[in-house]
Formats: sequence, structure tokens, C-alpha cells
Amino acid sequence: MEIRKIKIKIIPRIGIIFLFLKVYSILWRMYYIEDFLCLNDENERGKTMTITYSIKKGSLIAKISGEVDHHTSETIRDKLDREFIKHNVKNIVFDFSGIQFMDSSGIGVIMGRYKNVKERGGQVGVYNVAPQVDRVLQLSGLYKIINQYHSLDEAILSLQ
Amino acid sequence: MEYQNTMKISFISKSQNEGFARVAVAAFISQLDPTLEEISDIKTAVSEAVTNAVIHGYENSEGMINVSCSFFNNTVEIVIEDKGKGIEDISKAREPLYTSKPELERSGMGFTVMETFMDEIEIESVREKGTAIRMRKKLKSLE
Repeated sequence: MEIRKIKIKIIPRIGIIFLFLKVYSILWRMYYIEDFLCLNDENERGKTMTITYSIKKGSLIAKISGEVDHHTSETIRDKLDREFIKHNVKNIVFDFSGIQFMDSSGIGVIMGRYKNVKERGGQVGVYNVAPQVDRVLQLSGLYKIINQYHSLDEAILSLQ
Repeated sequence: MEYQNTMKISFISKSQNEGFARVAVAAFISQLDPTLEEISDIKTAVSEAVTNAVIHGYENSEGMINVSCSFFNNTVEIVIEDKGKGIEDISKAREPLYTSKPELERSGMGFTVMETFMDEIEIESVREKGTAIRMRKKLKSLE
């Protein structure tokens, strides 16, 4: 009689806990997968820019591929800020090897990230900069506040 | 031999069209067989001018942007027009790092980029009537 009572009490509770866990895990997955499936941004249809990330020794390494202009810079900004908050890193290093085009919107993106990084006492670095991108960066005097490196290893070594 | 050609495109002031405008101009001038550097200079300048029209001219509302491109021998001329709100102070707008919209995280380098990457730039702007930017570049590769 008693065992039965306990069973009746416990079983629905376990069920509810499992249900919660299931819902939680689904929501959690959706949060991460939306990046991947691009569900969060209708402008990404036919997108001309992609970002991939990695973390190395306290630095967020962001590889930007494609075109950086006013249209794509908003997405870059949102995604970078989200990654920067999510991982507790100090520095941001940009890999520009995949950039096919960049105008002054790119300068705005780097300047804005520089402000965020500065708050954590970190630095911004770039490497693999193509000549066209380099001219835009030089014009803005951005190299006074950010560092250019020849390779990722050099960047990581000097930012440690 | 004399080269001469003209084209004109119109599109709505959506940020997606910034890429379309610069690629269309690049495709048009490619018949002159310019160098990669010349193409990327022109693309960057066109992108800046069209972005200005979208952000400042129409302030993200909808309006038409006209881009015309012509060349005579080795000189390319590009005109980017909008019927937006016009520029309040042209000389201030041309200053490096000046932006009338600091909240947008813009660098204020638009006109500086256009001036550097093109040979000549003329700005005509009437408040509440619109802005026309005329840019010229001599393609050295054709000399």
C-alpha cells in the first residue's frame, strides 16, 4: 500500500523533471543551432559573408570570408559580440585571408571591437591581410591601435 | 582606337544593393581590361557612395538610387545620385573620421576613401532634394 503511494508520487515527478530536461536541452540546442542554420537573420539569404571562430590561449580568432560592407557589417558585429561575451577571452584576432572585398564599414567594425576589447584590457590583431584591404586599413590610421601579424602563431605568441 | 560606352542602373535603397551596384560597375568597366587594383579601387569608391545614399540620403527609408557609368578612352566617370535629404555641410562631411551618425559605429572615412581611390570627386547636394557624387578615374593600364 505504502509502496504504491510512493510510486504514484515519485513517477509523475520524475516524468516532469525529464520533461523539463528535454525542453531545456531542446532550447539549448536551438540557441546554438540558429547560428548554424541561420534562422536568426532573414538577410542571410544569399549571403556574401561567413565567419568561423576558434579560441586559442585567451584570444578569439575570427575568420571572415567574403565581402565586408555596410550590409554585412551588422551581422559581423552581432556575431562577434555574441562570441566575445560567450567565451571569456581578452583579445580578438581577425584572419582576413578570405576577404574578397572591404570598404570603410570594415574600419567601423574593427574600431567598435577595439573598444570592447579595451574594456577587458585586451588587444585587436589582424593577419593575412590582402593588399586591397591593407590600403583601406592604412588610410584610416587603424594600425596605430591594432597590430598586424604575419601569421596566427606570431599573433598568439605576442598577445599572450 | 576610341573606346566609348555608357550605362545606367536604378535600384531601391536597400543595403543588399550595395554589393549589386559595385559588381555591376566592375562588370561594365571590365571591357576596358583594367588591372585588379583599378577594379578594386573603383568598387570600393562605388560602395562608399552607395552606402552614403542608403544611410544618410534616405536614412534607411526607401527611395531610388541611380548609378551611371561611362568611359571615354581611358577615363571612367561614375555618377551616384539619390533624391534623399542632402548633405548639411559638405566640407565637414569630407573631413576624415567625421560622421554625422556616431551611434551607427561608422568610421567617417567614406569620402576619404573615395578621394584616395579615385582621381577626382565632385559633390553636388541640395538639402531635401538629394545628392549627386561624380567621380573620375584615369585607368593607367590603358595608357
